[in-house]
Amino acid sequence: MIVSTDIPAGRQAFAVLAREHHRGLLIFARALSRNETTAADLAQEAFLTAWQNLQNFDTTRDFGAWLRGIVRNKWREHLRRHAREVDVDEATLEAWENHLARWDESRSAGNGDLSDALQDCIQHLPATMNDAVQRYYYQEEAAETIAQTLGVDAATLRKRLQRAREALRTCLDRKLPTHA
Amino acid sequence: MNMNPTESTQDMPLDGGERLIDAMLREYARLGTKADEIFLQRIDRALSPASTIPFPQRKSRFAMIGSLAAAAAIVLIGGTMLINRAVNDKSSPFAQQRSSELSNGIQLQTDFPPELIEGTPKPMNVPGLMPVPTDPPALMVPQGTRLLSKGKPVTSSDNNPIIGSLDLITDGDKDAGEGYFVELLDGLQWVQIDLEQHADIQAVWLWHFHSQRRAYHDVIVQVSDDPQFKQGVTTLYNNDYDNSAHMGKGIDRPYADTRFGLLVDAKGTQGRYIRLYSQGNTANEMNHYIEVEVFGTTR
Repeated sequence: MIVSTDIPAGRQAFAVLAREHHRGLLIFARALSRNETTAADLAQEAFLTAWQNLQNFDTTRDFGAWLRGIVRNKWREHLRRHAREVDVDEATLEAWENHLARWDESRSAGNGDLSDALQDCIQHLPATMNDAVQRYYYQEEAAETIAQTLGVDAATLRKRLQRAREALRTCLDRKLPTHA
Repeated sequence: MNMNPTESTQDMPLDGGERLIDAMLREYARLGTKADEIFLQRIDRALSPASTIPFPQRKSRFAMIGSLAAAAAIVLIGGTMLINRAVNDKSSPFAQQRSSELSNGIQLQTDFPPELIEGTPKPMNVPGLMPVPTDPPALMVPQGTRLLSKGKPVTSSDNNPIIGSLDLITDGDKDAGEGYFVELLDGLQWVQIDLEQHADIQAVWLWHFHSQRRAYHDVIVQVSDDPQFKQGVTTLYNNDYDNSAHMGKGIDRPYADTRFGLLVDAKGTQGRYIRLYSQGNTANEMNHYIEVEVFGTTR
């Protein structure tokens, strides 16, 4: 009887945890694969694996970090089946892991939500960069179309987006500091 | 796993640091969209008992139950405190994220009837039955979404109901007592609401019968512009797990009727007619409806 009542409750609790962590996991999976569908598949498989191996989870560790570790393993499995895709070097992976962990930690410490921080950082970008980000990411316009609309060449647009991303990373690090 | 890795790969070469920010921008750009909700539904479904039984080949049934119990215990001990804190604390990242995700629309609202449980409960022997909810379901819908079905005409496969009349289904009254529900014949039966106009349907909220805990079999909800439902039919919900209604096996889970009803996300499906099927319930062979509400927008 205990089992029959606890299992649905445990599954429901896990589903809530999955909802809490899915955004960060999708970001990580998308950074790895640069593909929306693959990222969603990697994240889903990671949640399933986590659920099936929950008894191995050390509750003193960070749940998000554990999930990201599973995604890394899933990504490597994926690469073995898709030889054309390029792996990410260990140093980059470590850097991403550190960023995501720091942002998680900062969020847990009550220093704000990543989504809100990102929006605030975008608002404070110089107008030309802000415009490029809005059109490219939020309105999903093609790069060629944006370049034509803004009256710049493709290389200039790429540079604007590159600088915008660098500025956003710096801004996020400043907005979401850790106490470590 | 996706077998077409180049399907939507972004074109701009990026270095490592930029890729993380790029991924973040792309993920937050789709925040609150249908794609986002579809992913969460994929997770919920993947975790459902029907689709994932951990260690089915490697462990005995007894060991499997033990593993699940251990897993549930870990989640409950290690996760419930975290979950409760996250959900209840409005300053928590979880609450903020949910709040932020919901900012593009409005939360669907309806009135709930009072709790009224009568009679001796009967066992609900249905595989994969959803836990009885303690809170009303929540769904974000676009601004301008409104109740479209109030007072609209209802037809049925049984046009001479045994108890009640079909107009009770759209009269706006969800009370559980006598005189508020319609009882249809046994077997597979349907009711159909004519919205009298083409609409973008956002949600269907239905109450079969909630004064006794019971689960209705083969609950199927469909939308079409064809009143005969022969063409252009979209199935929004189907919990016919064994295809006993012969309309295709459904992936949704059986549920116990409560005063909170069943809320079906229609995701803006276009149509004029909504048809709902059922085939008896765990208490008896009859089919009942107290109320069906269809929410949407019209142009």
